[in-house]
Amino acid sequence: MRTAYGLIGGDPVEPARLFPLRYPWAYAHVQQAKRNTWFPEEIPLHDDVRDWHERLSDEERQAVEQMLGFFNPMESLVTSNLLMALYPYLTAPEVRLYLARQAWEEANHVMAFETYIKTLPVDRERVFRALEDHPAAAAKADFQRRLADEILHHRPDLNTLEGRGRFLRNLVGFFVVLEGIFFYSGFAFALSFRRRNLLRGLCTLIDWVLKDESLHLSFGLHLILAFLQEHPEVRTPELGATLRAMILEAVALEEAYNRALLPRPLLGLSAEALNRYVRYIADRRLEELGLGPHFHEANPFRWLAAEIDLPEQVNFFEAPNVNYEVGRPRTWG
Amino acid sequence: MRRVEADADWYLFDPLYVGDLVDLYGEAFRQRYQGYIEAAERGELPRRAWRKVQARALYAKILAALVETGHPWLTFKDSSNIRSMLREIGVIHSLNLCTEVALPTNVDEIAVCNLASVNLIRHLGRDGELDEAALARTVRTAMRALDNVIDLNLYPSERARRSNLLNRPVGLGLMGFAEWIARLGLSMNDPEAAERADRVVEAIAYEAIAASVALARERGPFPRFDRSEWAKGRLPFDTLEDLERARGAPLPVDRGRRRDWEELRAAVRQGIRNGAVMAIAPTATIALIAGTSPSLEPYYSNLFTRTTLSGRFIEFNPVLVKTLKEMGLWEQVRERLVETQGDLAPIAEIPEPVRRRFPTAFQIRPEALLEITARAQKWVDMGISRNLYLVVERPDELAEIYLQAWRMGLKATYYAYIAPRMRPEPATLRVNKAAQRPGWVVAAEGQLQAGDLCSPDGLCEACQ
Repeated sequence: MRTAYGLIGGDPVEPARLFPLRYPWAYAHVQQAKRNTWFPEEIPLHDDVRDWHERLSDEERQAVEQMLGFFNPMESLVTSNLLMALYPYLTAPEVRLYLARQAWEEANHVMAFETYIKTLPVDRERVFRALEDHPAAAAKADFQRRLADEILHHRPDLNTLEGRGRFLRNLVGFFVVLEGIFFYSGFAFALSFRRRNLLRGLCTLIDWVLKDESLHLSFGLHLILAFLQEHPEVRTPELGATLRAMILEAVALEEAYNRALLPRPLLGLSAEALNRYVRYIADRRLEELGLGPHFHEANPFRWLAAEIDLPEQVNFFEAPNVNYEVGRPRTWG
Repeated sequence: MRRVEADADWYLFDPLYVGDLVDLYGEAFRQRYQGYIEAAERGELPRRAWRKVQARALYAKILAALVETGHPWLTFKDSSNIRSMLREIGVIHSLNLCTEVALPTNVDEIAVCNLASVNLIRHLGRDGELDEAALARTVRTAMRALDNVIDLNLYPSERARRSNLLNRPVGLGLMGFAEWIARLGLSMNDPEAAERADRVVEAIAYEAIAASVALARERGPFPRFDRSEWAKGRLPFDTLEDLERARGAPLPVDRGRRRDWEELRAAVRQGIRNGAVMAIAPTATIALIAGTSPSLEPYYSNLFTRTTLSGRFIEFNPVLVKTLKEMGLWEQVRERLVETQGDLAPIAEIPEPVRRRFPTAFQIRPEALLEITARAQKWVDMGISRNLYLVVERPDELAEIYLQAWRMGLKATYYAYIAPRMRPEPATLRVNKAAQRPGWVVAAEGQLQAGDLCSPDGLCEACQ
């Protein structure tokens, strides 16, 4: 019999008793995550190697390196935050199951980006120096780091209102800001290459990462809303204002980052347009948190419908197909 | 498949020890295979030469692979060989990559084949019906061109050249079937669609065989003509009876004909230029270039993207767009189409009969696609690329569909496209996951067992 029945507050080392489920949405996310399993080795990269050496401009190569240089350390930071900041507090077993699964996915992303860097090859020193070389990238990383440190270096007491509020800020900062805004901006940037039939392998990798992140975001939002439901006292106007300010700060950081990433427009993509997309997505996140939109921006990237929204039929001989799901029951009759 | 049906054992043999099985099919295969089974069970074959598995267990593994990867293509050796017009000339050991070329191979001969596909949309009269005279002209031109290619081609190996010059096979197929069906106001779910497939493929087959006969009069029959079924005055549809007899079970395929085949039969007996005449290729790329729907394939959805070597392109069902424009609904529903991924079912503004007329590929009953293919295969002497579009939770739900494909006499099935359950968060639509949870989460929760959810101590909020 399960004894602890909240999201938090259980014995952090008590063996998991999964059933009966209290948070079926969490278990549903675990099941879907399993079905989305993929491996970087499945993605052919020979076209990317050719594009990298023969078809990309210097500016485009630098921009891709900078993107990889931000994604890679952030995937690691998310893992640390999941396991070190969140896992000790979130004791509901089905929620923990998902956190563990997500940690694996983040590790898989790190391996995927490593495979990519190694294969092309991209100047790895430059990629790993990205946070030092690009202050705007460093500012985003610092923002995330601060949120992680708020939990890691000053362990909150979740019996207090202050502690719960701080914990919620971390949830929003990682699930909504990093995975739901920063990454989405990066995906749009990367997918713009596919419109010109460049870096197809990278875009396939992004297709898969995007599916994962879409799930993380959806899980995160379920988690945040469930947390607010269990702890309605946290839902104060002050906290709402704090979360709103946090998202607006993140948008400002992302806008500065994109201006540095694209000092001049690359073919088909300008910092100005990308930032309009960031504001459009940020409004969506604000609305999902029940905070109401801020920017009232229209989506400038109608072309993303073809990249993300529409069902995709793949000509098998010509491109990898990311639309299959694995791990179904193997029964007969 | 018989063993799957009977829930029997499936014996797997190392061809090193049972080499002659590779060259057998039908009744001869059955007898020899049974002989090897008995030899194996008597201990007369080395233990490493064979293995016994439950046929359904192996079949289940194949189906699981199909669901998770779209592969493998199931190809049926009995129908491929028994229905081959070159069956006295050689055994068909495998089909080509797209499962439409069915030709014999052996150690001295590697089969190759030139293909062409008629764009049906360019052969319609004002009434939307097939212009059979125009079709006949195109088929004659295509057959002459295909026959020319045999002599002009550069061959990768002497064995390929040899095979091609001796059998002179060509494969004429078609594209634009889905667009035609939609223009006629039909859906592929309608029995009438299979009727249309039957008729149009009969017309192409008739003209193609007639054209090859005419070429034979001009240029001579293919060198091995005398050993072919053609020389006996047989036509591709005659072999349906052979397959039925070999299986000892009725082949559920309509046998109706519209053309005067008896006259052509007499001409065929005098000589035909090409050992093989028809194959329906997938045309996934050339149909895109020609601006119509590929092969006998349905539209994947009414609005979708196709990813090719050259990039990702938006495709749509042009007949639907035209219909909606005529109804004055297009501007009103186009955004909704992105939202529903080209599925009309949830769009209430569109009248029900229109919604029913334009299903996505996943809303077409697989049985309807099999019927269309079986009716076309009646006339086709080689094979047909047939993708299946399946909505499936568990692989064993497909068991009956693939058995049915075999029972209906298909020579092969091609990719299985499986509808993904999860959709990533849309980029261009207004979404609020908090206000409206993603459909797949709700579906996945719904699949949890009641016992997983209900807490016997009543602590669950839902029960309180």
